[in-house]
Amino acid sequence: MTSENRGFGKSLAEPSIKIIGYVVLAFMALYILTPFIWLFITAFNPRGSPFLEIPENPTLENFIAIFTGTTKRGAAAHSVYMATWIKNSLIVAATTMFIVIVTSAMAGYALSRLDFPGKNLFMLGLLLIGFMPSLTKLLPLYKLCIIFGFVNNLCGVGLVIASGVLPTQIWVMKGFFDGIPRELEEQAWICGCNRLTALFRVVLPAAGPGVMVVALMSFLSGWGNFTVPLILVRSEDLYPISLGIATIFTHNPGEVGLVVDYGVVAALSIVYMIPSLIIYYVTRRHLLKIRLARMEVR
Amino acid sequence: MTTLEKALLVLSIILAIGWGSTIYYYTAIYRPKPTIITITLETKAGLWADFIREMKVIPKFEDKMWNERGILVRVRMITAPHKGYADKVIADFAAGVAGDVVWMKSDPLPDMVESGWLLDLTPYVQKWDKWNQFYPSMQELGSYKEKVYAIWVETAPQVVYYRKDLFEAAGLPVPWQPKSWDDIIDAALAIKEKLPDVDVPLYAINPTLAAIGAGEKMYDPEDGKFIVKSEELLDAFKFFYDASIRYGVTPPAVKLEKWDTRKLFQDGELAILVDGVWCWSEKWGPGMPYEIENREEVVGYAHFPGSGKPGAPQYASYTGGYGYMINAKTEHPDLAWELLKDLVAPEIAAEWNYPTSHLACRKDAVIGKYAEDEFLKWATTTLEYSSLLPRVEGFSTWKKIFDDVVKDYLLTQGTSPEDCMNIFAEKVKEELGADRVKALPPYSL
Amino acid sequence: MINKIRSVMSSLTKIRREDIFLASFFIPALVLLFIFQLIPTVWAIQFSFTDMALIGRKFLNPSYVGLMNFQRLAGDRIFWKSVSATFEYCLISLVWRFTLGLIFSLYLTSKIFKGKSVMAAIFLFPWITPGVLKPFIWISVLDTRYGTANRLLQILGLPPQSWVYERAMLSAIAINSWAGYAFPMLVLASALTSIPKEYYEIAEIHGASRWYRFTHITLPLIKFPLVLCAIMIFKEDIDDFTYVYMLTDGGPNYRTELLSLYAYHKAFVYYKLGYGSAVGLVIAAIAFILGLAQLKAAKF
Repeated sequence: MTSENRGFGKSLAEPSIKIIGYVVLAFMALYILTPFIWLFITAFNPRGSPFLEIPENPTLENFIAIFTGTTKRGAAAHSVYMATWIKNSLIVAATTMFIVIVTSAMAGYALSRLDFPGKNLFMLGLLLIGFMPSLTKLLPLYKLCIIFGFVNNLCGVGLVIASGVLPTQIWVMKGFFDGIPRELEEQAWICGCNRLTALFRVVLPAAGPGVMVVALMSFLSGWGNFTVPLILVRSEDLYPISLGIATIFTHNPGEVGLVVDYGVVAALSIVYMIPSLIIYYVTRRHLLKIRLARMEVR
Repeated sequence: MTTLEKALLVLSIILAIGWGSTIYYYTAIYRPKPTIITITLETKAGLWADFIREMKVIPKFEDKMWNERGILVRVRMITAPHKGYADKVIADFAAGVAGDVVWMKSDPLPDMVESGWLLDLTPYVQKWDKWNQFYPSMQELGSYKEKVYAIWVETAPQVVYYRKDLFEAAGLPVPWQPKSWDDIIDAALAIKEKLPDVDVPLYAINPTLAAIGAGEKMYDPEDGKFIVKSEELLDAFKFFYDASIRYGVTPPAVKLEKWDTRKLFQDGELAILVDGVWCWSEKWGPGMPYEIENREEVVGYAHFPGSGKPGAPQYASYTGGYGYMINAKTEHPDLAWELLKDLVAPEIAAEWNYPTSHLACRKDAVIGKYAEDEFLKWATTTLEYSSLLPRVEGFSTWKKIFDDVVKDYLLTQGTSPEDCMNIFAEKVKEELGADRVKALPPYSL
Repeated sequence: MINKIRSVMSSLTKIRREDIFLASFFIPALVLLFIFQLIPTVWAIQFSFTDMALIGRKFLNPSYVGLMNFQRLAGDRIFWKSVSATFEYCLISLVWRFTLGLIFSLYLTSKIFKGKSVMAAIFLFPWITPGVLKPFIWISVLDTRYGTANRLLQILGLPPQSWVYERAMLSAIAINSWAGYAFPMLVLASALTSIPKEYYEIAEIHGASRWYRFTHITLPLIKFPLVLCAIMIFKEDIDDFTYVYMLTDGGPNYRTELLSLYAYHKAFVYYKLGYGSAVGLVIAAIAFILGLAQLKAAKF
């Protein structure tokens, strides 16, 4: 994170403004983090409740239950599956990541280096291609996936999710490629590389940050997506965690016949968040380099 | 990029390719040699699927088919999460990929038959010696236009629960069996006066139940029209109006803000609650989220009475059910039927219904712990008067609009019962068409 | 006219082998988008001209009804209520998401506040949480009797609020903004940090005030990313109904019935797939037109 002066900071360094700033920050932090309080407290509560209740004797047994298959009071899922769910989510997210990185990098590079009539319209069209709400497209998408054999296929799930996030990711990659001056490539050409070698040796490493950002965003999409696995995945041992949580968790008081062990659900949710945090940590430095459009200088 | 990041990137790409291609191969390309017949069973993920596995229904079925008939069968289970399960099943049928045997609830049955999705089970059922073990109401619930399409495993009528401790504190008689809606309101008012700490004396906002209790027929099979205005319907609206607005024994916020009524009952903040029989075990039972200690001493139960006006039924309840249907497009209907019979077997049904406090749909499933449970024995008597909801296309819309009008007009704005009924009639006419609705005298559309 | 054709022709003849090679890079992305986005969209649009139902007789033989669905829409009271609710939700969400994004990006790019990595981690926390969890954790906070928010208010001596019922729209917007400020924040922070220092220094030397520097340097330079971000956000808000669905399912008397939720209800609860698709098409049209308008306004 750069901390260069942007023209706002100089005269704002007075101590009173600083204090106000920190106070505001504290309130914002409260707004941001309050919902997580319940999550973190309930995960350690052996008798979890849908509302905030401080446990008298916090334990780790909810976490253990996820991985060893021992849940109490007939919680509505054998937790043998919970570890499998984590693996499935990883597969889906990895597939999404891989497909998005490759396709958006290619398209982004082409969009950055190629000029053709109607280019702006094309880029706009990319953005608006998904303009129909996803649930209206549900039934046609379902039929299409059946034709392709994607039902109950985790890679198919990843592919469909990838197609949904492609437009924004192409824009992001294009922005990163725009930031790599053509001179770099031209120098490589002069040194005797052909276009392809130049691509791999020079451009790709320079676009590393872009790949990192796209990796994070596509991972988050694949990891957290719920609707696509809902239609496509049909066996419990292939559920990703998003479906798994829906299986064991309902907060609607009108639901029939379901026993919910809120502690286990909260513990699973925390485990659910960990890989996202890891990938964020690895890619965090590059998040501030997103360039959505070429900025023109007057 | 640092070396670490580069390495991670390369590693994840390699892993993704390797993993991806292996899985794609095994799920999409690899097909085992087709000498085995595969039939699919669709049910809810979690508790339901686990139960079937625990009871070992599938291995026993596969063995039986091999030993008795020399057929090699493999049963695959398809599951969907409990939330939105019915919608998923309907989407599956619409896309043509539903299982051969499907676990489903009874409400959409008429619509599903009209869509041509369900196999007619009448020929099988006529040859089945166990068919007359099923209660007549259950047989009818699974039928549409004289043909059988579903066999039920569980059913769950609505009853009235009340807190015996609060009743005793308010000087009300225990055990309590109200004979009319006035009895219920009187009891609630007594609670409200004598025990002002109880936030919600009564919660009985179940529009369909009230309609039945008022004696409302809802649908006239003779001319195929839905009744949208009548004396009985007005009584139902008046009951809710009295409870919520006039006497204030049911604060509208309970329904509108979705207060957790089971928790309120558990905490003793709710004295009289109309709810399903399954709550006995699944909500207030030992080890459950809303566990009530000394449940037998604290929780009382009674039949939901009719309105008390002449012509209304003595008690009212309605019930749907959950059970199995067979896909009309199945390639192995006979095998599917055999599997279905195993799934609804008496032992399985009893084993499922006892811990979940549902009622069995067949007489020979009243065995073991199920037969000895006091509550279940009493609850079974509700089946004698329990009615079935009209089994016609469009009824689910009628029901939903009724619910919506109670919620959005009566509870939200305090609209009078007469106005509510007019609004209701208008909306149903709009949704279903003017030729499918009618009003009973002295009302007109 | 002739000149235009001439210029197109001449640019066509200038196509080199390299350019074709480059253009082929588009193919994987276009194939994916075409198959999984375009085709279902067209299919769904086709539904909106029929009276197809998800279930029942109309599932077996739907018929083309031309514009009847749209005519019904025009006279549908709930539809118009839904339109106003959607505009309210989307506009306020847009403002909030950008405001929060701007405030946080200023914190992240300023010189005077310390602990940037901690700040960044906290700010991005809602973005990192998987989508399934977001409604659930908020419901636990907003419940009227036992929720964390009201408990906190009671401790502070303030009256508990009815978040789920009276302030339903506010709650939905609050959750949406909470979940969605991260993207504008990243875009804004990236845009702000990419403006070279020299511009500001030169302007300062020339005696420009802070306000002048802001309006003549910062704003024009971040205009394009801002507008694009706004388009993306608007499209997201108009499509996603998770929060209103979980919280109020259309709210007291359709007050929070967003258009996307209405389309879902019509298609999957009332089973009127044709009508629901028509609503979906209206949503798409609105998003499209507004997107174009925003670009025009920014003189793209």
